[in-house]
Amino acid sequence: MVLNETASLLAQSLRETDDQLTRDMLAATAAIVNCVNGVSGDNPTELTRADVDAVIFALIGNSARMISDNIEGQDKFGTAPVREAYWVMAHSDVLADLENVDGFINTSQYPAQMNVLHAEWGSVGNSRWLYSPIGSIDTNASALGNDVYDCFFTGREAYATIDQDGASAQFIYQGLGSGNDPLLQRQTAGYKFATVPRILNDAWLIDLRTSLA
Amino acid sequence: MSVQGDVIARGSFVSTGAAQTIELPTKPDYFIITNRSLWGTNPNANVRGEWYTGMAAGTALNTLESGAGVLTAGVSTTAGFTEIDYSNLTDGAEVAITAITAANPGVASAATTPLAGDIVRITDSTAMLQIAGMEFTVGVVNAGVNFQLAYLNSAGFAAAATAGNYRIIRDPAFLPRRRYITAITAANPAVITTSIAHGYVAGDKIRINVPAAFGMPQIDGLLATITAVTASTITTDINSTAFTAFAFPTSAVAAAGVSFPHILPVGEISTILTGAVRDDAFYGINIGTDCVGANTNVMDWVALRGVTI
Repeated sequence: MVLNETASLLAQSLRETDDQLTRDMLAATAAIVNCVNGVSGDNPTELTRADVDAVIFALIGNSARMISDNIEGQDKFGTAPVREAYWVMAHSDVLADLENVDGFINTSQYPAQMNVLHAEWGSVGNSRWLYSPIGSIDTNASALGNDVYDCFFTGREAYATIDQDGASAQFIYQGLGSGNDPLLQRQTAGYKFATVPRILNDAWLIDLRTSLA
Repeated sequence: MSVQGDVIARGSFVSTGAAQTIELPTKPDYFIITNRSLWGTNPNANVRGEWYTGMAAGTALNTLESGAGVLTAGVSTTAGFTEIDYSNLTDGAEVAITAITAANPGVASAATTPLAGDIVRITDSTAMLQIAGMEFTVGVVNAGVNFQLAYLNSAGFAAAATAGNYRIIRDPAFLPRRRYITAITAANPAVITTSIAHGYVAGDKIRINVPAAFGMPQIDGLLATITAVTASTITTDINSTAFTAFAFPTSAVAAAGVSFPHILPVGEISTILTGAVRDDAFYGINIGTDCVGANTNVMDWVALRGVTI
């Protein structure tokens, strides 16, 4: 029972750690653009449609391919077609501002739910937004000292994570008596893995930095 | 000693008298360092320092050996041990700045000053908003009075900053990483100055992104190979002689919103392992000057991790 619970927690930890390593690589090495079209008076400002479009057009200008196809409109009340899109990975704190961006479409308004990801919040223009509470934040990094959120606009094959041969994720359990345990009092469970996240083409990935409204 | 646990690492080093960081394979619960050179010599100095998990940064439990050979207990409050955990980096507290000069280098005045070599982020820099949000390596420090923003030439700025704030920040683990640009020469070859020590090596390939507000649009988006470096400068294989001058925007333009110019690592030299983008994150302990011994002292240390009961 305890081991099962521990294994479950470790599995969650392993994948979150994997995500965090990729997140930190993107935050360290991606090209950045600040939101500048908001009205907050900070730099970067809050998220706006003009800022989103500027990044999308920059990616298009760099020949970055979009990841998802159109979702065609259907005769369903309250829905709207969704454009082909780059994917955006952002912190969940940004969602309230995202809701206020012109042209935002929540996933519940997509004409079809077949290809909606569990972590997807909605779309703006040619971008579809994924959220996570462990998204990237630069604390106190705006001109006025507020937190800055990294929104990674990603084209197809813009980055990759490469697992090292022979060092893919391993769950390791050691029973009583292992290690320095002559009185059979300790058991351990853990994991290890090696991975290398890298941007493959820096022109196909842009970090749109935003503060909150 | 009554600490239960497994030794996760141990070692020795010859002290230089300066604070030293020890990298460890995992988070320690307990760390002890002993001065082998001074132990039993009646040095009237700390001969042992200990740290337990949960203790505040900079603190230590010390054993002091008096000139008469008497051992007494002491504590450090600022120059003891500091745990380092790259998965949990935190900024320093916000500190008020009263002015930043328009000079080369810019000098920030503050009653509480950082240490030379620290990285600080400037915010709320009234009348000098073109650097608000940028990070800088600290140069010469006049303790309690002012400190240099070592790689910022603000001599061409229209005005000095009349107020502001700074925080000490930790440089994250992925290196080399994106760095802000504070200057680019219009010359052959073009030389780029970064706001903090950049960590690139000759042979690395970089992308140069310069928003229109900073002048020199001809260099925006170009790829370059680094031919030489200093701590803060990068010599490229680009001839920028005919380019327009790089210049910071005015404070008013920056207040309306700008992106900062920066370089990115996009390729790496294959003959120098540290030229590649890499994750230098680690767990460790920084040993402050109260516990690190004097120059040439031999120091023995042990790090343990055990079961918390």
